[in-house]
Amino acid sequence: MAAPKVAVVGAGVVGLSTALSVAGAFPACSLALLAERFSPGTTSDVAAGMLIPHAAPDTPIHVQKQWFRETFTYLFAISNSAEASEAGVHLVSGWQVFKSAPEEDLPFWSDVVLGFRTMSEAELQKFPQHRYGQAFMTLKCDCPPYLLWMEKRLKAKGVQMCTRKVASLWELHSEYDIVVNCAGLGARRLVGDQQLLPVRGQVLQVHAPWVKNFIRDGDGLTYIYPGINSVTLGGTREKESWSLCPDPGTAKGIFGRCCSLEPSLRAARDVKVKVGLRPSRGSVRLQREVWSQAGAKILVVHNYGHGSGGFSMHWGTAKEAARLVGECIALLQGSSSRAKL
Amino acid sequence: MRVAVVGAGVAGLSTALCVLEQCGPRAPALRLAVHAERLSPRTASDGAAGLWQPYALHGRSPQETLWNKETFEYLLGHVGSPEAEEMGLFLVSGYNLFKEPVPDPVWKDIVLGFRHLTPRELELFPGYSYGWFNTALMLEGRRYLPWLTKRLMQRGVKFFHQKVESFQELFDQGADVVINCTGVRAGDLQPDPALQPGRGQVIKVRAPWVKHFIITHDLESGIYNSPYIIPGSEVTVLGGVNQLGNWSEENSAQDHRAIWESCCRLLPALQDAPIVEEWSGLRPVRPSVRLEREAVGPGRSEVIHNYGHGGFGITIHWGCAMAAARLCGSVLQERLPLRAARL
Repeated sequence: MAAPKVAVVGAGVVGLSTALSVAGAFPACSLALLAERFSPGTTSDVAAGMLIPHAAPDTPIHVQKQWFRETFTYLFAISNSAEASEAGVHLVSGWQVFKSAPEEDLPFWSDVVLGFRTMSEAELQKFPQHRYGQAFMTLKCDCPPYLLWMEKRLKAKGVQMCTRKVASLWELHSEYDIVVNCAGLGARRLVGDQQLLPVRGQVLQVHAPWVKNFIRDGDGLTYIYPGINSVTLGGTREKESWSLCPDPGTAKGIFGRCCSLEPSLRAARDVKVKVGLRPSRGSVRLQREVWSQAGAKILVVHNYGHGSGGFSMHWGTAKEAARLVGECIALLQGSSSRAKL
Repeated sequence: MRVAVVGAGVAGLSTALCVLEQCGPRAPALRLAVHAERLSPRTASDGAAGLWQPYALHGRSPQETLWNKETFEYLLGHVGSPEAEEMGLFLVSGYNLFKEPVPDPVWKDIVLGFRHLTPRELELFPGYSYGWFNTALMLEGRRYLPWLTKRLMQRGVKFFHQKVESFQELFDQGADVVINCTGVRAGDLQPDPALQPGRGQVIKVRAPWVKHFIITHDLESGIYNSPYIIPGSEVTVLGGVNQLGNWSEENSAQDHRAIWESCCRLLPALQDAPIVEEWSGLRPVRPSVRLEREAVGPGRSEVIHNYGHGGFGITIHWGCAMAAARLCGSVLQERLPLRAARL
């Protein structure tokens, strides 16, 4: 049979990495990437790209850990290579501090990141309002560089990249055999998933190049993440808020909270305010379906709903999505050989 | 009372500030002047990356360890202040790498979060099998020296951009005490066979993705003669040369190649980093810091020496400045009755 025609919908961190994973596993496929928005206009572009997972409530912890570990290992190798600066992937160390003792001593990812340990008394003195802390080193994927680097690699592999708003996956049935749905929050309308809801995040990106360590409050609301050319200050987690408009009151609040953690930020300049809507769901939807209707058929693989964990989990879920694409290809080949008999 | 400080690197300027703060209150008529052949950004302190870290091995004296500790604690106390950014002061974490296990450094409890590297971390550095990780401080000379200068000028300290040819010249001008912070060129004022230059060369690049310092150690080639990478606020400093007895301040193409190749081996992505500047300077190397008072010349005038800080001038500066200021205070106290007698 002819090479399977695969379309990946979505060009955020999940869409691009899924396309890379599929291209790597199935070089014979004809692969296209379709998205309404490319970097720097995606949700991923707003995220700091820190590899610090949030436990999603409905996915078994061992699965999340495996996805995180696969992502960490993959990015660790990139950070250590000559491409690190182009890919925007770099190691960063710092502290997660708590005002009251956290529920668990050891988060599930503590042995995946590097050098995880409890903070000493001397280190905690820098954070007078906090009583307890953890120190570790992790990875950060700066966007746009990371997304642009993936786009470049996809183009080098001959993947067609198209700016296109897909209103329904059905519209693709005549052009593609397999569609991989990495539409993030767009999946709510695209496939009618009512479980998918936005969790609004507002951040500030500032010029403060002397900040070399990350600092994060264990409540997940206040964080300082030093990137290559700017420091991301956050944030908010506003459930079911759809507004993409930066809120000045919120911006002031974020700045104030971050300055209490790191007073030197008062000297920060060139403040840019950004908003992203995390595509949140109880668990990532990672499954395949056969859609058939009036004689037409498409094989669909879903890979969306990563919430706060897009960067932390992306490579693990991309690999799983590629595996599901493999199952789809086998199905196609099976029915094609049946047709020949 | 007139105090003349010779030298405007980190030692001279910080000592001048300590003298003002310690001696000023008790001697309201105190007049301070700084005389220097070279001012920021032309001093050795400006060329250095500014990382606080004493020698890792070959311990120096307990006195120097104490001065290092005093400096770290003083700086740590200021890292959260509104002044920090202008001072060029910030926290930075990083690695010290070795080819074999070594004893922990005497300063392991001074820095924050000192620990050994895990096997996974060592995978990043082929050729190195042992190492440390800790959080320390950066104090960038190019920002700190102007900050000190500004504070001194605000308090009426006069600056004279000139080479002082002798201590006597300053005493003749009316100085009650001279503080000698002339660094590697101290021998021009008074021969010191223990003092020699430790020539260093650095390449400054734009590599803002580097967030950690990496200092390698080679027990055979000696301190600072092994590649290091130190991320500053604007540039990342690549170095690893320490040539004892070499007075040249010209950049050497051979040293450039050695530094570039060895640092790119440590961090392959550096190959793409644009080079912003290259600089050579002379560390004032001495078996121990000379920090003492001495009566010189026929008039038995007092000179307080504070020089010979090797490659750890930033690291030790405040402890030494306070000690030198205390000595200055004693000298001024002793001279008070003499002064009164002259009136």
